[in-house]
Amino acid sequence: MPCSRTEHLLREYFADDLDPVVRAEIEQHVGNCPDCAGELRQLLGATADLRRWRELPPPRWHRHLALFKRERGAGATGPSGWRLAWQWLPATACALMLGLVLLNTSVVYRDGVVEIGFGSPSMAEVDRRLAEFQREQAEERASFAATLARFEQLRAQDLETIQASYEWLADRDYETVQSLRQLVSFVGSSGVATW
Amino acid sequence: MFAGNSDEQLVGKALAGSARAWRQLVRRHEGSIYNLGYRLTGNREDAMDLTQEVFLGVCRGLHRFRGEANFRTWLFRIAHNKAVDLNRKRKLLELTGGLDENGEFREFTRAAAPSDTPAAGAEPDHDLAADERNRLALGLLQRISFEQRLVVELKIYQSLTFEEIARMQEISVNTAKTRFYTALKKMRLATEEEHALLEN
Repeated sequence: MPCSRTEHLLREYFADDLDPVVRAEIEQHVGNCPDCAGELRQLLGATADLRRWRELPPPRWHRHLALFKRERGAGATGPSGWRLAWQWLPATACALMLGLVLLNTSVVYRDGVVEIGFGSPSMAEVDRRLAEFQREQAEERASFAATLARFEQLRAQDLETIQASYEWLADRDYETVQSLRQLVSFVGSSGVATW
Repeated sequence: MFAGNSDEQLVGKALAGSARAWRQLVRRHEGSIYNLGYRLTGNREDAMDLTQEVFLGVCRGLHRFRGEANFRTWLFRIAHNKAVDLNRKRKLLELTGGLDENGEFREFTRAAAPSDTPAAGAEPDHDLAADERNRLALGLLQRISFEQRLVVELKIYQSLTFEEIARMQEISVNTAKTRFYTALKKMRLATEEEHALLEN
């Protein structure tokens, strides 16, 4: 008749944290029970057969990379760290070049026409601008000379007016003095005769 | 380049978008998952399907890995769940394929056909003795149910404790122990029957 304790004991035998006292008890029972001993031997044989498995190399597959890139979206990149930073170089260079082009762009509005130029102005343009500057300077000088002449003319007129006024005043003063003298002489002669 | 990095470091870099870190992570663990799949399914094609499913699941859930548990434990939990899912799908697919000789639905494992064994495999450096050992193990594993095979896999090959197995499978520790014991007993009986048949 098979042992009634076999299942319970052997089930516990494979437990992870088997109490040493329980283990000793099981081993003692197994040592005295041929049924349990035979079954334990066969179970251990089965586990030994399973443990002899040889790990097999998996077939090569690359789909995991595609999966990764698909799942992680555009953020998935092959290289990382400093290699990632190098990817910014072309973009940075493009931005710099664009900046230089924009800084050298000149927009000129002349005679109702907007002219957009790239790069530095040519020598002809420099000459043209210089001539225009000189013409403007000459115009300003002529305008200043005319204004000065006008002021000179006004000053001369003012001087003449002042001279005439002075002479008129002088004449009036002389007449006044003469009148007073006549008055004094007249008063003197008539007073002496009365008293 | 990333060989010296821990799994957790590789996960961090993969999350940052590094395909190299991801490749290293896959290379490091694909062998374990493939062998697990081979032992659970009994054939290489299903093992490869399972491997791909597992890493797809890992890739999709990478942001959920918070490093609280060991990456390997997390990986094998995913592998376990994927294996259960695939087995369930296989059962549904085989509803039209009829029942097996015992009147039960066919499970994940089919008998390890000679073409599935490494002896006839593609590896040129195969070792006949090792192949024989694998054939023997697969022969034993196909004698037990898928649920029992999962417990045996986790206990024998992944060295998990019954408590971890119970938590992973959402069963009691006693149930895990019973499944393991019953599985070993079934394998022993099957071996005895085979020997008896050979002797007769």
